[in-house]
Amino acid sequence: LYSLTPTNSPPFQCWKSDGPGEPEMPKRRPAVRRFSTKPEDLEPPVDPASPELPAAAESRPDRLSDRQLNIVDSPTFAPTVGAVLDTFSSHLDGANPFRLPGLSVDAGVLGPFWLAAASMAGLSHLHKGRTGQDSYSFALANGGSHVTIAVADGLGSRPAYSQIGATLLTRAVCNALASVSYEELTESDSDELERCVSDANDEVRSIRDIAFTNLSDSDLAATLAFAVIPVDVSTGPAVAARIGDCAGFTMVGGQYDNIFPKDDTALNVVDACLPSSRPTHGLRVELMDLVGKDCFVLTTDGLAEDIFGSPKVREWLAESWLVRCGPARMLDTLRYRRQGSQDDRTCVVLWLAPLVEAGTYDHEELAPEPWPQSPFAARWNSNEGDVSPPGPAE
Amino acid sequence: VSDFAEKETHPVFPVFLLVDVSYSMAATDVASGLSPLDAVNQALPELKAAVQTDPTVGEIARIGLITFSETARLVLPLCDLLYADMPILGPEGGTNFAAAFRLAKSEIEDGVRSLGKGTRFHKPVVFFMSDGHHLASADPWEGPLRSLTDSDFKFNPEIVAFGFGEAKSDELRKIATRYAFMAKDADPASQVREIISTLIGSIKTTSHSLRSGVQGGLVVQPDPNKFTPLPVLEV
Repeated sequence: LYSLTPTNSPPFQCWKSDGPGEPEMPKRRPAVRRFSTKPEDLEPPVDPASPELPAAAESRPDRLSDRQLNIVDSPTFAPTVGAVLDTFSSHLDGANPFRLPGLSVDAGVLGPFWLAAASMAGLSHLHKGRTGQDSYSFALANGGSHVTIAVADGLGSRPAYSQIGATLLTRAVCNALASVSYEELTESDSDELERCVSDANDEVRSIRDIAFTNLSDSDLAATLAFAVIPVDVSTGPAVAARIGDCAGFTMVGGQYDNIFPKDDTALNVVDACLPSSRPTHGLRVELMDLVGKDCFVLTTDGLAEDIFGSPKVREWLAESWLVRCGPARMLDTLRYRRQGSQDDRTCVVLWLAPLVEAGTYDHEELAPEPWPQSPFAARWNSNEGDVSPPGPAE
Repeated sequence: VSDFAEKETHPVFPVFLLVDVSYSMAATDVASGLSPLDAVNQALPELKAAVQTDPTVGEIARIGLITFSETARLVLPLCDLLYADMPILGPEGGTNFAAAFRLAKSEIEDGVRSLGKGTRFHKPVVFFMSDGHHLASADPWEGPLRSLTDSDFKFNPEIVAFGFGEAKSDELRKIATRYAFMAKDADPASQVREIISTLIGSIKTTSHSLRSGVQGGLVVQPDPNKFTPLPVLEV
């Protein structure tokens, strides 16, 4: 349904158009339109000052925890920190057609770098049967001069929609930054960065005005962090920026270096978000030299708070990210439990060392611990016994 | 100073109950045979049960209880209710809001700081409940309230004010930062039960929605048949 256009193209086009000019709009609504975007259709009427939606899961007194249901998941080495409770339950957001996947992950080559990114819906959202609200995205600049990465954390006065804002924002800002060269972004007195933020903000609002006409800026509100990393980090600094409380780190030898100033006020109060009528309000920009750094990391605040506040989580992630992660390992890095950590967790990690062939560095030394094996897997892998590998049903 | 904690800390959601325990709270309703304080004492275990049964609350909520009459008293320091014995409240004297706000300010700060350096916290919430009005004319309450809610105070809370009986709407409207409610006609004990039930619901829902608003996602959803919402005034 949606296609984000390059920033210098005509305004966002909803529904595909074959030619230039005005977007070709359908004569009538699509024949099958099962879902309404009207807030009142998705939410029971509530006091406007009360943002929470009563969720289906909440109304069931007989809710059973995952433990009580004997739910089994793959084993993990991820740590458990503090007095965590095992009475959480997982409920899917069946009422919200705009829910995000509970898990998202990517890993692969982007330009000259290896990138791995993952997002995991928070326990609190799952327990209440709500969608996660975080998003990430990435892009390689049109001219190939730089890589852009972004994370966003949906706030929103209506939790059913802020993930839409977060998703659109990460894509729009990556799209805007990819259309500008690294030199244009970083030359002195350039206001290209601010322009890209404004363009992304406008793009989100344009989409909102076409496809989600009943939603307001606050319905889609999200905090955002993004970064522009030159493909050759020796040619100039990386640019990191944020609006709100997402975070960024550089890493060397498993040690973190915080990019943005840490705010020590209340966790759940943010001073700026997008979309907004003042899109660059609260924009904070940092430049940093990445020569000699191992990784560049952007995270939403849920994960950032765990990195700041828990030495065990910090160490776990640092160890996990010492090597380039594939998608399953990347997801696994987010599977730790920490008391009070119930927010969505999202990160984008960019390994900055040049990609080299296997064997040219000491992979053995850095290799992660093997997965623990179940008795079934052990028998299967050793071809002993009569256990057959899974195959198509006969 | 490093941005990274050297010891394990856990994010918390601090909640304080400021409960009026003046003599009028001990007046027994003929029909129900209960006083408002009896109703508070009956409802406090329900608060503990709510914390125990909801992991999204139990892992992060830290709850304290301050009573006030002519003076204010900390009867339950900010703590994890899973490991706390609930106090039994008794009547004590007159009504002094100023003392309550002064003690709330110091206890919020002390309570959060006692959790360890680097502990992150969600915006504290104070639930204020009174059946009367400020009687200590020599000790004005507006100044201590402003000091408590001052944005320069790092731990400045949101205040939700509930009134019943002889409580004054104008005072409740000034005390609350976002929500103020006056209980509608019913016997005082029933009104107190409704107030406690509403604040339990608020703690649970707010714990789920701490990130859902620019101002922190405080949610209070009283039964409109039992409470009259009051527009909030600045002091």
